[in-house]
Amino acid sequence: MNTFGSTLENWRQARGIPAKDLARQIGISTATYHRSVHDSSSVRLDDAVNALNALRYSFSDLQETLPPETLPLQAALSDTEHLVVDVMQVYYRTQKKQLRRLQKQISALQEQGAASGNSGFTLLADFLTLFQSELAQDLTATENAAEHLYQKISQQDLLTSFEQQLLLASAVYLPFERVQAIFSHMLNAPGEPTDTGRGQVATLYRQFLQSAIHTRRRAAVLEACNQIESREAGHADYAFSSLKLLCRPIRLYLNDRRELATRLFRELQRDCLTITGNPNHALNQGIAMVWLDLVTFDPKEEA
Amino acid sequence: MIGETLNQIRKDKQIKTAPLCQALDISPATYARLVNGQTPMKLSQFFALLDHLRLAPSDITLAIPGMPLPIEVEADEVLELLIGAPSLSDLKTAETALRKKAQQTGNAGYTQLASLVRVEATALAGATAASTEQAVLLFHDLDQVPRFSTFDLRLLSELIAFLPFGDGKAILEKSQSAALNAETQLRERILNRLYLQFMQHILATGSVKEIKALPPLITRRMVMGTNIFFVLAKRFTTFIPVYFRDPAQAQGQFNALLAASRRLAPKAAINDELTKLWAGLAKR
Repeated sequence: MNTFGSTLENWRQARGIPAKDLARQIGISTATYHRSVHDSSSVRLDDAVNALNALRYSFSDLQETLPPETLPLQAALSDTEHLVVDVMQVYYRTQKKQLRRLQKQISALQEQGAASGNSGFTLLADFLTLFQSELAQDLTATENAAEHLYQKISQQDLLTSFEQQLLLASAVYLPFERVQAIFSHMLNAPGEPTDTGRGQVATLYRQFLQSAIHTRRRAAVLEACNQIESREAGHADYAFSSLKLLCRPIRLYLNDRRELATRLFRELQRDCLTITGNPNHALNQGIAMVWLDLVTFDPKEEA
Repeated sequence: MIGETLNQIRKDKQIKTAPLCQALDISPATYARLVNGQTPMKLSQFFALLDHLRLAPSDITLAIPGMPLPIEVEADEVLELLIGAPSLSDLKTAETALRKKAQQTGNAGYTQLASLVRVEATALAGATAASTEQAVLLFHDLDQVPRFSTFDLRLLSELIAFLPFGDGKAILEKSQSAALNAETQLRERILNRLYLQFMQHILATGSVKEIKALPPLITRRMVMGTNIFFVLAKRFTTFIPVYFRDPAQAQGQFNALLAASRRLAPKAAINDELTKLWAGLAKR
């Protein structure tokens, strides 16, 4: 199994750099380098940074080669994502079995959290509890679990990609005001959003809009449209642009000009299909989900 | 610096030091020395800290200032220079500076960057055959590794525009991931550029046979649904066989795609790139 030392050694050999030269660039002796290859437990961070620089590899590259035990929480996140996809695919045929699988993973994550003291495992277990309630069709328990997760995560300045993924996955079960708070927090947080954060901004806005529609309040939907329309879309942010363009037919729909609204929606839908060539693509599905919610919930209440 | 930032993130997340010290197998006093830089941090402690703070290694270049490695920063600067239509003297100055850095640091990455600048300068001077020869040499130097690093891919994304079809094809095949979600977003962005440069290069200079071989090469790459940039590049390649059968029909399909893309994202750089791709194809 790969450790940092063996990965480094593989990369060094592939690059054809003599060990002596690499050691000199790192600033350590050749003997220390060879020791580090066999036992990297005491490698210093500074030396690791120098080694990566000398070998022209980045931390991003390193992430792909590390064994799961190096970053147990990231490994658990990946396992959980796979489990959720798997459970979703077979759920309707074997509901009880899938719920048992989820329960087993929840218990394992809780144990791992208690043993390591890493609260991230508990957050993952909380997320799976929410998913479990959702599959069991217990709406109250699902909403409570979403609120619980929200309370634990949302009070921080920096939301890592891990936390953003959990918040976004549960946002659809939170009341509109909560989603609005997450939304403004993620967009106004100090510093740069993470890569994942940037990619998820459009999803966040879509959930925000859907959440507004679920309130059945016209004013909430108009407010969501205002916020979406006032944000500058990234130059190549098609998912967000499509939402922005969707606001016009939504407004027309709310003003009872439904024929024109539907026509504009269809035109937008056609453009998205021309771009992706695939009706199941996330871009097409995203606007279709919002429109379906709009027609189903038909927000009318004024107060 | 890194220790201080990580400790700040810990406080923000209201994570207590006790479980962290336990995980790192150190005392609170040692933890304090680690984060204020008095004691050098071990790599294993760094990873344990990242995991406890719920940070992925791909998050850290944004969350922790100073984490992009010097050679990565240098590669980005060189690419920016090359994209900005530099003069011959700009290129000469850049090459000299990079060769000097290579000597000072012993890092072969600077030599490779200098060679890339030389390829561009030779092409700019009109010596096409010589620039291709230099490009092939640099490609073979970069091609030693079983999987390209993001640094290699940065260089290749520029170099591919000077390479013969077979070498470009080899780069694409080697850079493809087995799993759909195996790419970090950084790698995905660099690969987008690499593919686009290759397509433009082949459409502008390749034979008809090479152009006809483009679609399967491009569509084989699997990407996440959020990568619309590449979805559009893939859509474009579907027009190539149509073009050789019925140019007018392909023109109609292309116009519809470009119009839809412009309606959705008027300022997207891919709109201009698509126009360039079409201009290359339409010359045939």
